[in-house]
Amino acid sequence: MEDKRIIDLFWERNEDAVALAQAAYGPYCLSIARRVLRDDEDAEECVNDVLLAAWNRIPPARPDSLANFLGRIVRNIAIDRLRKETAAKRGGSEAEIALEELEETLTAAGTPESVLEQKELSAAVSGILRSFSQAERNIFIRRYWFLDTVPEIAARYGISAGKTAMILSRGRKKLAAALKKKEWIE
Amino acid sequence: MKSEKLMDAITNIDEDLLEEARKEPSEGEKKAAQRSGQILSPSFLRAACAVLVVGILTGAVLWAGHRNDPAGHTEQTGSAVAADPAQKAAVLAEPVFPQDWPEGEIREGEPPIHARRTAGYEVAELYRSYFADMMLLLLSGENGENRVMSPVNIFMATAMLVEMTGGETRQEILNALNVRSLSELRDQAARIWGLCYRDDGQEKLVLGNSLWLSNHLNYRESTAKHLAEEYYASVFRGEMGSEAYDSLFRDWLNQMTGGLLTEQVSKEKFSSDELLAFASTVFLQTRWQQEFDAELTAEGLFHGADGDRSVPFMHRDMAADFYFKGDIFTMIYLSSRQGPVFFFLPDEGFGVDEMMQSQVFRDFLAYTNDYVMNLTDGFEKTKEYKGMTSVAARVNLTVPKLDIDASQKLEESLQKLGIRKCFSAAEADFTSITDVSGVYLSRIEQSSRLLMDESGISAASYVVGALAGGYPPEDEIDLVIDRPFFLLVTGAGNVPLFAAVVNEP
Repeated sequence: MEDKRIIDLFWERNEDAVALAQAAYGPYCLSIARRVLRDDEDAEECVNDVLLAAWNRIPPARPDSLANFLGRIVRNIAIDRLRKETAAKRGGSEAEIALEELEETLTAAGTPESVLEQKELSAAVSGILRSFSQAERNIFIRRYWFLDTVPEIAARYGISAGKTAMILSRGRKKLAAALKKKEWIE
Repeated sequence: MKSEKLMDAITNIDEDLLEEARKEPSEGEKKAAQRSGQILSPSFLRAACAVLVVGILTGAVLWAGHRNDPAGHTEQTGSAVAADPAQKAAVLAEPVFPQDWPEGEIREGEPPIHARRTAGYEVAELYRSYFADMMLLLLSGENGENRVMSPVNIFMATAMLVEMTGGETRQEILNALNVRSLSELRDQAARIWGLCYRDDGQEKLVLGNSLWLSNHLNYRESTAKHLAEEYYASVFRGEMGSEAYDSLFRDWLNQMTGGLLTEQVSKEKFSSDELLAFASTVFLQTRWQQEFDAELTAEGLFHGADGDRSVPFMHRDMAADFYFKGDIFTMIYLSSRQGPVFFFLPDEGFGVDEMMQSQVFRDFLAYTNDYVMNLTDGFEKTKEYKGMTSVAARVNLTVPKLDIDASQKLEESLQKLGIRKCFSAAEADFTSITDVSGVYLSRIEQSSRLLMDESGISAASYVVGALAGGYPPEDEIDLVIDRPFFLLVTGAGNVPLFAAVVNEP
């Protein structure tokens, strides 16, 4: 069923919307949650939370792409859950490894505290990513948004893992340099 | 900044970036990833599914003498590099194209396409005669073969040529375009680009430009920068004649033409004695405002120049419509989402070439808007305007599906329009792009392809609005386009995007 119909059902407050969204995007959301969290049970709980969040947000939201809308929510929920978990101990998941990779290239400086600042930072990152070549940009987003592993990205693009790592490294450096230029980091 | 905050920022990157990364990478993107590290991969438009029409125009500037020995450096020139066996190429500039709002989506503010079109409508009128001359020059004397070309494509390439030339060479081209100065042309070319351009995810009309510099050429950075900024041109530098540079060139052409011209593009390559090349592309992907019913499509006989041939014909009955009668031809137009598509059928006993000699036909090409406005305005059953009559009627249209292509050299046509000096090694002045002497335009040609099917083209809303009839039509016409005809695909402001003579659908 196309997104528009499912979103219409959300708007009509028809509970079939939840079941249809679950059928259409449940596996997709689960795969994102699994990459962030190590525990399958936790990941499945995230997906349930996503559907509830979607029920609460639509309306008033009317997303263009249900996949992207649900994907963002599940990513946020899973990362939040991971943070709580890793307050006690760290290590293991793709998200944590990705976080460490990003940390390597950033100098600790100011932290955007407000929601507005965080939005501005997202806009700045989007703008910087647009200056990448299409392939470099998508490889970067596959790694740090979808949390694909380096070998998975290599297979997706038909390139070696070494080259993938090199492209990612260059992307992180470009991102760091551009953020520095925009004075987001020192 | 903590990496977690950056992770949160990445979570909320723009929707279109996410959407792009979610899709399986195209072959072109994979190739770009493979090249990454050797060549900066340009951010090309994603190859879209081939639906309709494309055109390519390429040109190359040849250096007549002093091969591999360019003239001295100046401060304003980009530096030449020594011949590099590694044959590396580099992207010096790449454009970011506007992204239109998806059709029907309501957002705050004015859609960008409205501002672009408002700025462009009047300017399009200034070039209508030039467009008409190019169509007549390139499509006449077809000798039984299909011909297809893109007027707007040639215009954009010619405007790029003006940017690169100087002195009398530039003035000659400005005269042919009937423009007073470079700045005026630059402004008008930008407006026409904006008038035509559309990319809302479904409808596409993308005009691309690019400049291909030799590693051995001292080029003027300011001109390359102007082309990048004013013409959305990608700028590349590499080793002319090398497979790597040829491959990058072909990739760019394929990407910008949606993969519709791969056969023609596969033959494209630079020769080692060329110092600079430029390319302009048009890629149109549009739908009919009202699609043909595929179930009504049936095989039928097309009476072509070389005899009868069985081809699939589409059929549509239009209860309240118009047809237009010229002196020796009948014309009808269908609405696409970009603009009207005109079909010109010569009367029995006349060929397309004879029709193209008709003054009424020529006037229609040169004054399309005037004709359309005067013939379709109001509710009269018939209207006359300068040799043409519109008749309200039920139109039962039968038209063949099309997949036609053609390639042709443009030197002769441009020279007939008065553009001559740029082809002469002794006279050409390309000082705006390089201070190397003896540089001239050695080749310029166009390849185009046009496909039309049941879902095919769609129309500009302002023309469709004018078509709304308020009376029941009494006449009825069976318009069976089963013999050679002339096709004109237009965009916003009735800018002629593609024109074709169809002899063998």
